[in-house]
Amino acid sequence: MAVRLRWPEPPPAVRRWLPEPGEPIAPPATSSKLHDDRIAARLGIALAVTFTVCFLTGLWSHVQQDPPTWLAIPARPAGLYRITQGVHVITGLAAIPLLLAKLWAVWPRFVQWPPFRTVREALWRAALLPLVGGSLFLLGTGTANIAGWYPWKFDFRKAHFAASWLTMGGLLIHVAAVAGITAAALRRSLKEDDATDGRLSRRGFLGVVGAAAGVVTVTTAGATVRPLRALSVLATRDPGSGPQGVPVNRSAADAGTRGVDLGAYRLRVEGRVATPLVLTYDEVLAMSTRTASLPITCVEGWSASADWRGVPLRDLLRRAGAEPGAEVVLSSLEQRGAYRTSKVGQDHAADADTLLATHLDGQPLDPDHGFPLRLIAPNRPGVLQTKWVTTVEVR
Amino acid sequence: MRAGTAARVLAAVAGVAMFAVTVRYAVLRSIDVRPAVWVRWWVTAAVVHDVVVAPAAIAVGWLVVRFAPRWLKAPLQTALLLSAVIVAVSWPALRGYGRMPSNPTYLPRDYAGGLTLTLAVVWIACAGWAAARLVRRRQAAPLGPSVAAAPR
Ligand code: HEM
Repeated sequence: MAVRLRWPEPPPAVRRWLPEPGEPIAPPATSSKLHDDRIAARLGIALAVTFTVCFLTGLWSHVQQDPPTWLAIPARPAGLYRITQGVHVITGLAAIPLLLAKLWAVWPRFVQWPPFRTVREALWRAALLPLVGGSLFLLGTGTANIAGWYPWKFDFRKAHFAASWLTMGGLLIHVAAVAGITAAALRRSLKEDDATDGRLSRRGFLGVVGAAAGVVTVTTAGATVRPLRALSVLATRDPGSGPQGVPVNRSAADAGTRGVDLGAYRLRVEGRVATPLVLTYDEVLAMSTRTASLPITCVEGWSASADWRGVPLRDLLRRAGAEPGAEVVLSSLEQRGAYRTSKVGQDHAADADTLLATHLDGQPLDPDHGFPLRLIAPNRPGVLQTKWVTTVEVR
Repeated sequence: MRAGTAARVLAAVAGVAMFAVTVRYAVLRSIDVRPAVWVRWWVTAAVVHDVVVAPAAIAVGWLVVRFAPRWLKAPLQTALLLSAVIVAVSWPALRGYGRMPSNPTYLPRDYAGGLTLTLAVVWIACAGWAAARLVRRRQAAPLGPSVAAAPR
């Protein structure tokens, strides 16, 4: 580990523009006060916090969709996923200025000379590639995804998940490497040897980066924080827009489920049940219904609350004589699509507010919201709130 | 210090373990993750950022600090930084890449208008700040700008 590597010395005219390991980040020839480890440390901590929040809320969203066998997803609190996924997207967007500012501040290290002197330095600096690449990938693909833009040839969700482990792994290695510099940098005053010629001070720069995070938040968070709706002029979704005032992710036109023939439509409850049911739309409407006020929360971070009326799933299961605690799989009329079917876990199947809804805010569902029948359940990602439901299979 | 060293070693080991989780997941789900494509995207992101984006931002900042008058420097740096971030974040919406005729609830707003409005607020606020700095500077230096004291 203590092997010292020898590097050629560049000509002095070049050398003075390159920082040296262990010396200040700003190379001697520059007058910059912002390329500084005090800035790097503070922005680094802000990034560690925001990235950890995104990682944890992201894992939570992941297990809802790919639940491990040992984890039962709870149905309560009903608005939990709305909060965790809202926090995920809001925090990720706010991290964009933090990341760009941090990388800007430490950029001279990119041309540091010599690049490394020991094996240990070489290793931790090599881990910067997954850290920087992974961070840019996460924030970049996330920003594109919420705008419905997929300019790549991988599955967004799984690639984003893989990048989150990559980035957090790189972050842990980075923190281990810079912990000492960070602690020393935090002890030094931001004001010491600061600029005095009218440009941004260090504190001013950090303030402006914070302001940038604030502007990004205010102009986008209205996709889920309703009071901000009017200010969120850059939000990619609007919780008040769409058929019946609720946004849509997969339209009936895209799913091929426009103009469902009610004469031919049947809701089937089948599988491990005592009495399989085959119900017409009118028979479903004739069952006793319940109204629940629940948010529909997209994995993309927007959410909108509405009053949903329909038949509790557990009433249907009871009527068909399903064993309590059985696993339930719903299928849609949709022929293709990654979310054609969805599993309903025990806790959700038993919840009184898990409905096969026929009405939204008192009106029959719009085709885009899943007419004739859709699932709406508490604490559940929107992609799993199956629309155009036609079979309930008990396993 | 010993406890600190142990914590750092532990963090580094955990980091390497997370890399292993990444590789395992990418291989197991290679049909979806497409590891070769995926790696190319994040390596390209890092290279383009470090070779093009960051140097360009540093060059613009350098020009401002070098050539703008004192009273204008900080407000101009601020306006440029905020603008760059706002444009970057709103770019996909502005260009409407994800617009779907079959689903108007994607990108329902007028993003050119929203961006113009946001940037107008930023630039007007920064212009006001610059003007205040200029006035203060004039008041502090009745003999003219050449002998003015530093603002703030
Ligand atoms: C997404 C998160 C982060 C990214 C992408 C990131 C990226 C970077 C990069 C690329 C460097 C330059 C290193 C070099 O080339 O030598 C750096 C330096 C630094 N980082 Fe981070 N970092 C992150 C989080 C953190 C955290 C959590 C801390 C503190 C706990 C931190 C503290 C520092 C410090 C103090 C330096 C300056 C080292 C010096 O003086 O050269 N960073 N960071």
